[in-house]
Amino acid sequence: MNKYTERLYNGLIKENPTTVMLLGMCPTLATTTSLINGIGMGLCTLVVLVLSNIVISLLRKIIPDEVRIPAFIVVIASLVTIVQFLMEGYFPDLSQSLGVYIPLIVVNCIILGRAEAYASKHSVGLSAFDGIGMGLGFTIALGILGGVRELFGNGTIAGMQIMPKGYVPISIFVLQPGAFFVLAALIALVTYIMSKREQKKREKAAAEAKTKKPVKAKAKPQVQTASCAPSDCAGCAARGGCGVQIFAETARAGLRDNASKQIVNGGEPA
Amino acid sequence: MKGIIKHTGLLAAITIIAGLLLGLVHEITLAPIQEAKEQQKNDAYKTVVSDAKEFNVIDYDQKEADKIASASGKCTIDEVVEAKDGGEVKGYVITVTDGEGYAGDIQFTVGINADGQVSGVSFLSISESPGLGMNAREDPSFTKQYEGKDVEKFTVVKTGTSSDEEINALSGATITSKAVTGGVNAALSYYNQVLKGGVS
Amino acid sequence: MKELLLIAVSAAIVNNVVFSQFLGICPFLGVSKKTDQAVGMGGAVIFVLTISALVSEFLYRFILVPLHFEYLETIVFILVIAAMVQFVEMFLKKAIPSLYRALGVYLPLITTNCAVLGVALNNVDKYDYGILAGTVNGFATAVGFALALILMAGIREKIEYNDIPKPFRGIAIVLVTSGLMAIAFIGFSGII
Repeated sequence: MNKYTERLYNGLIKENPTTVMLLGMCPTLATTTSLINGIGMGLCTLVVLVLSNIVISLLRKIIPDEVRIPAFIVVIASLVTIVQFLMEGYFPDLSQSLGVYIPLIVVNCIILGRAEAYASKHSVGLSAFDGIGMGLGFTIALGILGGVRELFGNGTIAGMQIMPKGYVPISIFVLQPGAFFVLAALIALVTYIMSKREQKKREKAAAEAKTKKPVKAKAKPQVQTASCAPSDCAGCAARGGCGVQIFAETARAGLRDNASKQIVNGGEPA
Repeated sequence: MKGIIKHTGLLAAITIIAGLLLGLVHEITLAPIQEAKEQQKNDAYKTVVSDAKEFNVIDYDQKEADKIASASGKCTIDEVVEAKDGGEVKGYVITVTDGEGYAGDIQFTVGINADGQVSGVSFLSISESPGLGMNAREDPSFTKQYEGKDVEKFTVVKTGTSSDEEINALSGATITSKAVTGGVNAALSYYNQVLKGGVS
Repeated sequence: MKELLLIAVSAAIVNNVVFSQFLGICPFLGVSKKTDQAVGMGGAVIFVLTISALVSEFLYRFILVPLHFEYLETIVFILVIAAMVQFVEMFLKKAIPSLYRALGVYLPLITTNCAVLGVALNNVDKYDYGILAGTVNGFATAVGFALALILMAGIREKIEYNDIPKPFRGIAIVLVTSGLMAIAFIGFSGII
């Protein structure tokens, strides 16, 4: 797999922002009342993410380390406002149903997290692909959530009647609690699949170790989804354990010297 | 010290460039945004008075309108449009904003035909809870209740309607139903007190 | 007065920022493991959100509107919030060290709490509150956030000892719990 496709795979599956990294939970829960809204929100985020990754990667040698966070915020906020104008002008209906969550892309930690963790250290091309991968991962997750909620809560998909006529919509799915339940189910499902795959890998490794000689075929320590490699910890507070752990660390370290850095490393996705 | 000046300068430069760029994009998208809004409005006019072809905004006394509207709740009248078809007045479209929605203001147009009956209600901006208050827009049977009735003032009820004046509330969204009804009443009373019998 | 009370009750409980508006979900999930942390974070958010609602209303009404720069609101608000968080931090450190020790570590994390920006934007765009009502809305929203956070932390401390199906361990069970709490909060919608 070359470097570019690896970036796409990383965003779509390995570090999927919604199901694995648990970033950007607010728009995930708030805007997925229908398939179109979910995908629309995902695509807006994708556009902002790709552009911000490109711009920040271009500027990475100009922006001094000390003021990088405010500089990133300015870049991101401008891009978000541009997207907001375009949405209002060309997709007024969607813009209205997404409402305040479009300007709130500014504080979506996927964007700032990727700027800090990836785009500020890598070339323009790779950063763009990183943005596409992450953005698509986010869009697909939001699409699934929106589709499921719309299907059960309204009996339709993308506005088309799918369920039989006698179906009484379970409106809790499109109400606020439904957002929490469907997201919980999706995350649990992904965790389940991941752990099954991990288990198979380990069994295979163990079997290989038996047939060969037990030299160095020790099964790799399982990388759990809830683990927290320092590199990808740009805002994974929500991940089980990691947030509070790092939180305690930052508290101990005083957190004072470089507050802005801690915002990103300390993990507080919005 | 030198570092601070350099950093401040750089940040300021980035911010200024960003600001200028935003101004530029704002200028470019201003026309399409206006156009989209106009389009939305025109569509709303056509849905509420379907047999008219031309819609002309008419001048009205804002103070008087606000006074009449506030009798029906926290409402304002934003625009009054005369709907015509070849010189014949088919009715009026009154745009109202009601501030008593569950989640912010609700803005909608009320069409009133030549007989003084509501001929349609169409939403311009509404952000109520999906699945509950949003049904005011999604479920056409709600706004249908206002149409074609010789009524001066509607009231909201929760347990089945018994007369023309009564509007069945959306289930789980009494606040939204009341807000919309308040707005429709404001438009009706404005029509009855000012527009009825023609505008001089 | 009655109007302000209505805004406050509606923002704190009926339209709870976490369960109904879905703002500030990430700190809600991230810092709700221990009750004492939840109290600290809640206090810091109340402090910052109230001040930022006031400042952003001022800026909007006295600078952006007269200059017709309303379209810069997002960029202006986020910068003001980020700068203000730093100022509040410095001020507290010098002026009220005891409060600083209690809230200090939580302050920098608030910049990316979308409830802060969300309230500032909603105040001017959606509700068009005045300065007083906007500030009350900011304060009450933050109280609602603290309430949700502390309730959740209390529940999570108990969840730790329960036998939960493996895939649901961690964040999934927290989301399920939040869903149940959201159902309870829907019940409040009858009171306004």
